[in-house]
Amino acid sequence: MKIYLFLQRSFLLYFFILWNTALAEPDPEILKSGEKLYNGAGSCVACHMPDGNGQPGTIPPLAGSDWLDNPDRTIAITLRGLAGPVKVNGKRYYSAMPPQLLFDDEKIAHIITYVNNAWGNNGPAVTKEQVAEARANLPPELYSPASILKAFPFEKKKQKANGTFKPDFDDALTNVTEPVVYRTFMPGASPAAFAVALPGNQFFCWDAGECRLRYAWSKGGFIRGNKVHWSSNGKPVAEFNGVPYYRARSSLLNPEDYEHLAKTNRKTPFYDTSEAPDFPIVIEGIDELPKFKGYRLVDGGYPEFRYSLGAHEIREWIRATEDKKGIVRTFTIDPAVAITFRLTPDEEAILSSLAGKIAADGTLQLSAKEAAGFQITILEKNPAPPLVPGAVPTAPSAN
Amino acid sequence: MKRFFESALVFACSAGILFANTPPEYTVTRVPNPPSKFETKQIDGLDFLPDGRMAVCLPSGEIFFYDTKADQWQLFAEGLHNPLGLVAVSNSELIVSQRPEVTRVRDTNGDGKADDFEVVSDGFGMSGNYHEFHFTPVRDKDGAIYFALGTGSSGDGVRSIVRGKFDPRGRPGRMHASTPFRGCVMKVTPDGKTIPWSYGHRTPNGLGFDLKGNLFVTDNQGDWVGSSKLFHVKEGRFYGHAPSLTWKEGFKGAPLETDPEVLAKMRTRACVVFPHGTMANSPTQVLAITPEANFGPFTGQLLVGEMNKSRVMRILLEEIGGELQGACVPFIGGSPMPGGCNRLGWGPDGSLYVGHTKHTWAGSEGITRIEWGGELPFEAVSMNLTKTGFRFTFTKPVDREIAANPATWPFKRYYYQYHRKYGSPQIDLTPVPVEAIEISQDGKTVELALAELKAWHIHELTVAGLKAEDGTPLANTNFVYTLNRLLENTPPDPLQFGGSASRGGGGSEPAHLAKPIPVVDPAGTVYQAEDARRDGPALQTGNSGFTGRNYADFGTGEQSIEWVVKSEKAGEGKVMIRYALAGGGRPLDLVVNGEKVETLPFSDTGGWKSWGDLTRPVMLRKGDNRIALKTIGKTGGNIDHIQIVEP
Repeated sequence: MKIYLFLQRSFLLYFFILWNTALAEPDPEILKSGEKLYNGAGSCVACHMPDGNGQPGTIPPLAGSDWLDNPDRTIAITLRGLAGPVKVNGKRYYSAMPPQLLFDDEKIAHIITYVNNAWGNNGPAVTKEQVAEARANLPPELYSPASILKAFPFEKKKQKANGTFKPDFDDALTNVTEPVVYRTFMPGASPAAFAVALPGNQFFCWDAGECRLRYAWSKGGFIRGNKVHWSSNGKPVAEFNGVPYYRARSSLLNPEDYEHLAKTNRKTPFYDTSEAPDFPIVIEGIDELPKFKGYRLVDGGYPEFRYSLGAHEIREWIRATEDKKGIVRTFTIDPAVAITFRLTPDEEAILSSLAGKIAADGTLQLSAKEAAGFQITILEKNPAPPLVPGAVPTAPSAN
Repeated sequence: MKRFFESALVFACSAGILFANTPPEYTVTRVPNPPSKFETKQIDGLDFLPDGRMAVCLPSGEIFFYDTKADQWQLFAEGLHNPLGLVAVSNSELIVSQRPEVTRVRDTNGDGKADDFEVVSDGFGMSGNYHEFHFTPVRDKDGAIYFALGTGSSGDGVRSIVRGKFDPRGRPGRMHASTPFRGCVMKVTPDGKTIPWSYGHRTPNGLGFDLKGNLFVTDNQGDWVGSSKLFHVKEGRFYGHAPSLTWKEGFKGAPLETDPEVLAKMRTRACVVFPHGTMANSPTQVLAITPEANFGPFTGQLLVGEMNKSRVMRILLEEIGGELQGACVPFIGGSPMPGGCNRLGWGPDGSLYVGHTKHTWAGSEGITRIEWGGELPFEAVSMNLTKTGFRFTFTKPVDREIAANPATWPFKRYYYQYHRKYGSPQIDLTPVPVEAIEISQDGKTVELALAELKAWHIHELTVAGLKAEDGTPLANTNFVYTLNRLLENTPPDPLQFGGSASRGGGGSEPAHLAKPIPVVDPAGTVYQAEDARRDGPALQTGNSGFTGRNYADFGTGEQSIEWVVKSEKAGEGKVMIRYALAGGGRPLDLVVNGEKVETLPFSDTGGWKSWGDLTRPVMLRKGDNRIALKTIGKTGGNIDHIQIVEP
């Protein structure tokens, strides 16, 4: 009798699902509306990207995401937001999802229905009634990874690859509150390199072998694999998840070389620094390579690099812009002298200086007075989405 | 709990239970580990500040200070690139060797944390090869700084962008020097100029001065280094590892295309050789026993650490014919001191601190402290060359009866070949009988006259069963004296090189190397292949370097070679098989008295003219025994002879 009842219930459930699915077969009009809303200015697309792949290390993908297996969970995250480190399809993401307050029930239903069926996804349609019910009944707070997983758990076989994780030391280097300075092997730089993380999640590689900023990035967190790197024989080249938004000119590298810049096993190098031509500061009459002199930690741990060109000592201090959308390089030159600063044009970044004049060849011309102290700002054209403070802990204090 | 554990260790040491070599008058304790955020406890640099605190650096790039009295660690600096040595200048200033630079690390605002990192020297290249380590800065009394640059490994290449000039002449080889001054000891003059000071180093993990201001550096066995070594560093000299010659002014051509005889003539010999496998495989820092050290009656001698073993060695040097040479002997070693004895320093109380590391090789982590209790250990204070042999001086009077027995002093001699190949066998290994023994009135000095003293040969003995008058056994018995020069009439250096230009080794052996008779043990008996019963293998002479009249050349199919060897008694003996095999991969079964013992994995000897050996324990009967090598489907290598050491 019990068995019969169970079968009957299962049968009913099965029927219900079939009926429900059949009913929710996505309407092309709704999909079209959802696509438009998804791709609207400042909407989902800004973070999750047009292809739904998100951004490595920060924004999880929607295309093929295991997290879409429960529409109620998707509705809950969309309405209430989710802050904290999450694992999606086995990969780690640190950024937070803010609650979507601008869309009504119908719009949210259209967006989720679109997401559930775009990029090869094959999920159910969501109705505005479902969204309305959730809006009325869900707890009002922002979800944490723990609370969302408790309310909408994963089936067992997906639990390992999806959920949350305890941030380790690598993770802690994202969202630092003080600058972090590491000498280590960096891709795309001479072996005498610096990796620096700034408060505001601006990261850069500075090359002591050529006395210049090599590149800057903001997405995907700071360098990773530190534990291995700093306890082994020292061979690994540091890795990071993001793509630099700014790369300084490297006229001895071809675009295709960039794929090989982290490799260690070459027979000969692409070039050596004894004739590196890309030092950006040109002083008339001085035809020699800059010399690296060291660095000082200033203003709470920012590295101020110092190097010389001829008899002139140059100091360079890099910090994040106030809006955290780029970096400011502050230079001093002593004794002051007129210089030409060869700016590197960059598609992903906007370079600017308050002082001096841009010459016809694109270089920045500074008089001796201006060159005594000047700033160059590098702004990212497509800045990283904001990280919610506290999403990951700050770098552990050594004391 | 931790405290209890440490006390237990101290007890175990004092009771003389756990250690292998450490004299019982010395105790070994662990120091708590620095609180690295990377969880590594490897110690790559160690020195003491004027105020008595210990400074250590870790592979993580962190530098910590340790107050030995308060048992407190404090982070001083972080973010350095694999620093492998530091020297304290003041309580707030260190000189640190890190991969890209020698750096002056200072706390300028008095908050206890470094805030200024000044380049003292970056006047050298980096190919980005992980093996290009930058070792131990030391300072002389004038303020000059010396540091040592490791070569790159063929286990990896170079990076896409290298620092400094890239020179392809230095790129080939097992260990390479493709950017400036890799494989050199460097000097930063007091006025700040960086200059190459000596050439020919492979992995010079450790510089140090003696009390007279002589500079020493160690090197690791490998290509061009037959066995690990200690060199007395002098300006402009070349110490044997070829690739760094790329950067020597006036050196023409490519080092690896240069005739090894030319290189052998250029090189300066080591003042001490550490036999591979028994004494040291990877020697580290050099530290003089200062008058302030409280470490027994050895002031002025040098200590050298060893990575692969739990071992700190003592070095007994003397000047002969205008150059330093002498002996090494194990000193501190065995549990509870771990291996990886990488960095050494004297604590404010005169005890020795040892920093341990591994970097994925053999070794360990953490810090140990070795304290002398004040009682005299029974050790040799010195080993000096005489006109006829050696004179040992001991800390205590010896047992005259044991000391007067020639069997107590089983000397042997040999040399390591100088060649491009990795390592070297012990060549011309010959027992050297003691012909006369004279014991001084006070019983502390023993003069040994040897049947022959041969210049340019290593003379080694493991003193057998010597006790002091009071019954104390000699704590450390293995003495290896690198006899380059005799007190008078030293013959010219026979060079003892092998290989030819741009070849890995082998090649035509120079005349003085013809027919070397390698012996694993002076007590062994050689049985030549031509005297064996052969079923298949042909006798050949085409590849030089074999002993006797022929060697046996295995063909394919079922083939075997069998010797009948004699043993005085039953028990476990040893068989050493001398063979040559280019490329490896030709195993043979070892069959003793009709029973298969094991399949022997004969490895590549580096060419058909390059002979190696393989040693296995074998159970022997009293009387005749049959020892055979049989094919297992494939062919085998060339077999020169076997040697049997009886039980």
